[in-house]
Amino acid sequence: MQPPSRRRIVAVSPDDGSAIDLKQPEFAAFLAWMVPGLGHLYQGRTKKGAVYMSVILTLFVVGLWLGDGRVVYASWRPNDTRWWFVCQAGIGAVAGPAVVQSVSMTGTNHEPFWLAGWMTPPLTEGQLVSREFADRLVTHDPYIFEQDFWDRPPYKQFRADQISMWHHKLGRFFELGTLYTVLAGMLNMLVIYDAWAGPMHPFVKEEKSTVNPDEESNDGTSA
Amino acid sequence: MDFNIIVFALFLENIPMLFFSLPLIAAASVIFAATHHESPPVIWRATAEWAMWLIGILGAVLLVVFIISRLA
Repeated sequence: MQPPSRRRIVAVSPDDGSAIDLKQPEFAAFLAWMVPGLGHLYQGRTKKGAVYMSVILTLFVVGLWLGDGRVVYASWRPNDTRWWFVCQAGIGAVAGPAVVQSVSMTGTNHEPFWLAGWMTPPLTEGQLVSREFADRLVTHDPYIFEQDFWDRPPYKQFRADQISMWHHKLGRFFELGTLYTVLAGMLNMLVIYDAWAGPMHPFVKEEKSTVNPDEESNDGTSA
Repeated sequence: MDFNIIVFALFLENIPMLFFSLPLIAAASVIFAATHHESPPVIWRATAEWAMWLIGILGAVLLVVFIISRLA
């Protein structure tokens, strides 16, 4: 038996029965979560890694594009709990900025970490934001105007509902973009499993034992 | 007759949405196939099988919903 440090974990290919070196499966699974396909590249399964990376990242980016870059955000407020983000987070580091932006928005600065607003949760009615962020929204967002904010020094208070604006602007594409990004995250769960345990084998029915269970228990061979 | 035209128009209106479901089916088929196989030629063959299964199942569901919506 090999010592733990030299232990090699392999899976069996269902196609030709060859061994697949999983290296450190837990680390590969972590890499697969961080960036789709990266765990497979680490294991030397380059073609599968490239397929996973291209398919899942493309799906995610297309979803973001359809949703005008607004469909991936983390929000746990009572009136805007974004449960979809749990699935979107399955894509790992790519969805990471949403957590940073959400935490930053709920912090004392009342503004996102990246002022460009990438993956920032929508503003709700009565929400306080920094003056700098409010000015940036007025300048860059065609749906937000100066009169959408009350002056509450040193902050500004939003007086509309930004999620409604997004739905009005994007229509069905908000839902479509959400669906694409959610599915990308969920499919990456399968990729993580593949990096951790190798390919799933088809279900094989166990053959019925021809040995009588009573006889088996009498001779003491059964557990 | 007018009712049928309205139903057909509603169906046509949803065709763009059907179009947007195809990339999702394609992506899911590739991932499902790749998580069950290791050899690239087998993966591509399995992708086609998964795509047919998914289109069949989702198409059947869509058809049932469409029929029910007509009966309602």
